[in-house]
Amino acid sequence: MRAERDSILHGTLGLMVLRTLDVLGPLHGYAIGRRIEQVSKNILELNQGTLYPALLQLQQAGWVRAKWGLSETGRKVKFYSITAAGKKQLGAEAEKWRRLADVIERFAEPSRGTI
Amino acid sequence: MTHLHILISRFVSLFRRAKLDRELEDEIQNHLEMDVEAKVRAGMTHTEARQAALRHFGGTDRTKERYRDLLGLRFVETLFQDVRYSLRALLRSPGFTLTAVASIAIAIGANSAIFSVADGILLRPLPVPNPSGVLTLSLTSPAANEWTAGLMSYPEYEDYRKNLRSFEGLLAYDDVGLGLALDAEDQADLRMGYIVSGNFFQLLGVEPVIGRTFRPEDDLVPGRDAVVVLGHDLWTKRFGADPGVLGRTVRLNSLPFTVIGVVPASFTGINQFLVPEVFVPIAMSPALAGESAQGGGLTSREARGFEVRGRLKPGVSIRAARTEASVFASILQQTYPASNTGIGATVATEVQTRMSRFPGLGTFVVSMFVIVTVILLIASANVANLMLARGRSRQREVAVRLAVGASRLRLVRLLLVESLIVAVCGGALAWFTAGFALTALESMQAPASGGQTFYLPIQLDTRVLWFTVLVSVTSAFVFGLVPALQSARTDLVSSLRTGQSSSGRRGFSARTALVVAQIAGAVFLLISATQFRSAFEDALAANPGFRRDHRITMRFQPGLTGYTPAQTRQFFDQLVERALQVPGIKAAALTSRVPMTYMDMGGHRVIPEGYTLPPGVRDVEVLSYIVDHHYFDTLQVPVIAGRGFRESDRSDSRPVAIVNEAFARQYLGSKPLGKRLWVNGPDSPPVEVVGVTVTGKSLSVIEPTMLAIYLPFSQVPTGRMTLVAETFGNPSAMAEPLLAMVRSLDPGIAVFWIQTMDQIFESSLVGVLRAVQLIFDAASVLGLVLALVGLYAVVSYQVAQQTREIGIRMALGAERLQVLKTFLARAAIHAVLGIGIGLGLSFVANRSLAQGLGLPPFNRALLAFALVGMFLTGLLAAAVPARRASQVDPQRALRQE
Repeated sequence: MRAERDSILHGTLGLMVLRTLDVLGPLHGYAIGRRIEQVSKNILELNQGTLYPALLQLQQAGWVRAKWGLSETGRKVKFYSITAAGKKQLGAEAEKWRRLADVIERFAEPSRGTI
Repeated sequence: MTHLHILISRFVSLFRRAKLDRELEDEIQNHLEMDVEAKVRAGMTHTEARQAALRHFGGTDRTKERYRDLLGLRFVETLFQDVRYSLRALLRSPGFTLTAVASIAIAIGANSAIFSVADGILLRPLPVPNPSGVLTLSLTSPAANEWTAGLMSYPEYEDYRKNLRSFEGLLAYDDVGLGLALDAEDQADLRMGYIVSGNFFQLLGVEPVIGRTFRPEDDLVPGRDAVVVLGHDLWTKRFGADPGVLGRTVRLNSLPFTVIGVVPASFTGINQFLVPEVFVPIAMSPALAGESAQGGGLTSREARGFEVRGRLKPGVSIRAARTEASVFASILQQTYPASNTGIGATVATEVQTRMSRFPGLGTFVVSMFVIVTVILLIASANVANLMLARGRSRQREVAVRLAVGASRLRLVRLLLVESLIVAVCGGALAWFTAGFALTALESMQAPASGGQTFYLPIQLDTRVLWFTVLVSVTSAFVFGLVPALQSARTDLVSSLRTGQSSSGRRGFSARTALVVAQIAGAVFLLISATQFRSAFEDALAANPGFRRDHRITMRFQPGLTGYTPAQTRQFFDQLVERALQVPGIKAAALTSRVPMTYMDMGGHRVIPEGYTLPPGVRDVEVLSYIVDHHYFDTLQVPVIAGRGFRESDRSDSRPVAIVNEAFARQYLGSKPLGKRLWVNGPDSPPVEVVGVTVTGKSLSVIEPTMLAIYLPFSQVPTGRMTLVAETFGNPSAMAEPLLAMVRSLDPGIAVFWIQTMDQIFESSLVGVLRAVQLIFDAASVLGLVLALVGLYAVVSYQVAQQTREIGIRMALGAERLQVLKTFLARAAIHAVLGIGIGLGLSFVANRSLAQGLGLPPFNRALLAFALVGMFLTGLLAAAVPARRASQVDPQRALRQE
């Protein structure tokens, strides 16, 4: 059960993190979390704690790299940025989601006459 | 790729866990603080903001846990827990631990020792870079005998080297005995050396430690380049590892040679039994043999004495090379029908070559491995049995662990960790056991003297270390997995409720199977050992065809110190004459080879009169002894028909020969006397058979029937002969008087290998066979003891388990004797089952193994003795705990929980 939920979360959360980093450049964990909430217009209220294991997984896969730096308020924080491999993965993931969304859409709006 | 990336980064983080932990802590704190700040800015109080931030984050502990899971830390942490826990558990029951570790140590030690032996004689790669690339090119011939099989003549080697395209290059070498003297005054000392082709070192990739090795130019012109490369051992022992040795002149067979280099200590030659001490170019070999450059050694197509090795070109398969070699062999057959009819060629790997050069080696190694594997299995069964017993007593604990949520997999791992600890401790101890075993084996071999001893090159090196580690870990799984799985299968509910096992029946049957297997293994070892012992004793007791007591030998090669053939002849004549005058000497004779050695394996190609050889075969090569007319009397070799050699067989009289019975039977029919043989080609004058001797042993106590002929020294001049003297008293004591006599003949002459024939006998294969016998005996004793311990343990366990039941039965009126009988009967069934299976195994193994080793069929009396002994000792081992059962006090037993 738990593993299943995690993997779905990972699939989507990973995509969101990668896209955020791709668009905004290097960010620390808190900023990534805030940004995702903003973009989702607070529909998605993230358990922000889940962000860190997700970031670790992305690092282990080589899609994201981390570096210590100073935040705008002078805190020593870890900045995450996307790698070349990460960008490639983002492209592939996004494509996958677009296709999936397309299919779901057809079922959600059957009036378009595909079924 | 991504998976690999994950694996690597997880592995790396294992070593940085403290740092990563701290970093995560910092990150979470920062996150929370930033969130609190944002929420305060939005108008919350600090306390409210703090609580909201924590809620928003969703539990720091869960994050950390998940994070650490991802880092792969949990697995390692729990593994450490398992190790700590297992160590504590093992230390709590020292009796169990000690027995288990000792059994495993002995068994693995035996395995390591045998691996070391097998490695030395068969498996260890050549001591050169990229050894697997070195292949052997050998000739095949229908008429080949054991000791010349595969070798090439020099012109043939040249043909193959120039024409084969599959090889990067081909090298040739031959091992020879050379008289080495540091200068003209020094006494020559016989050393084993290689004569090698100029590309020998380059092709093998051997770099010198000082100076240089040979270049092809060194081997171009016969007799021109008198250069020598020294072996490392000789360099350190005789020259004190002095780099100034380069450019120095040493004498080989009394010819001056310039030292140009020294090979590294790691290069011990190509033949695993013989370490060469000097290397000289093949082009120098005619000079060393006292021949002219045009002498037969390098020009005759039939003087086949060279081993040929090569490296394949990149991308060429061994199969392609084999095809090319055999095609070229058929070209040579057509080009040189006189010498090459029926001669093929093939390419083999090093291990294949070793097995074909020393027939029986493969079978020997396999049978040794079978023996030690059986030992290891018996020991493993013992430990498995002990663990099963422990597993039962720990069942409650296991059940509790399962109840509080431990996964079964985790439990299996815990128990396997325990097995691994036992195995690793056993393996570490085994290193010493193996060292001890090898010292014992080595001490059984006579000390090496001038390379004459058939020597087992054994050592404990890193290869053996890896093997030991491998066997240890494997054995842990062998003896640990079954008990671990069984324990983890524990039925939770009933174990917790009663504290007693419900899987009793299952445990019982697994343990029974183990003990039956142990007995079967022990029986197998016992039978093998008795069989080998009887074969060995038969061989030792068999008449070798000559007397060896009270006889001393010394070897001479006067040509090495500059004698001409005529002077040599005169020297030997005088030698025997003067030896007979030495007080204490009863008889004296000369021979080109002393029986029971692998040295001086000279042969003659013989065409027997009146015998039709198979098509394509022109002659047969048989072992030849060149002896004087005293030989048969001095060694008391029985002449069973005709006569021995006489003084009247002179160089100008009719050429004669004597054959052994095996030769006569094979080639000369029922009336061998008077038949003629051609021993020097079909055009030479024939020799007449004037006598037949018994077929004695020529090489070792266990050998195939050797056909042999004897030729008179007076008619076949030979440069290297051995004096055999029969003494009245202790033969060793006669060495000094004989040497004094030799010095009076010529103070400068070199005397090689002064040995009694008893010593030669021991240093032939006998020493090795005794070592093998020791291995068999030790293995069977070990197997027997381990199996008896196993049987004892199982019966004790049964008694302990059934104490209550016994009490009830006794309370109901069962006799003590009956109780005893019940347990003994069960043990007897185990023993009989085990003996039956072991016997079956032995019969199966006997077919394949015994034949390879040349062992005779079972000795029935010994066999019966071994089996009855096994059965009785088994009952005895069972009787001790069974007696305990019969003495159970019913009242006590019933009260006991």
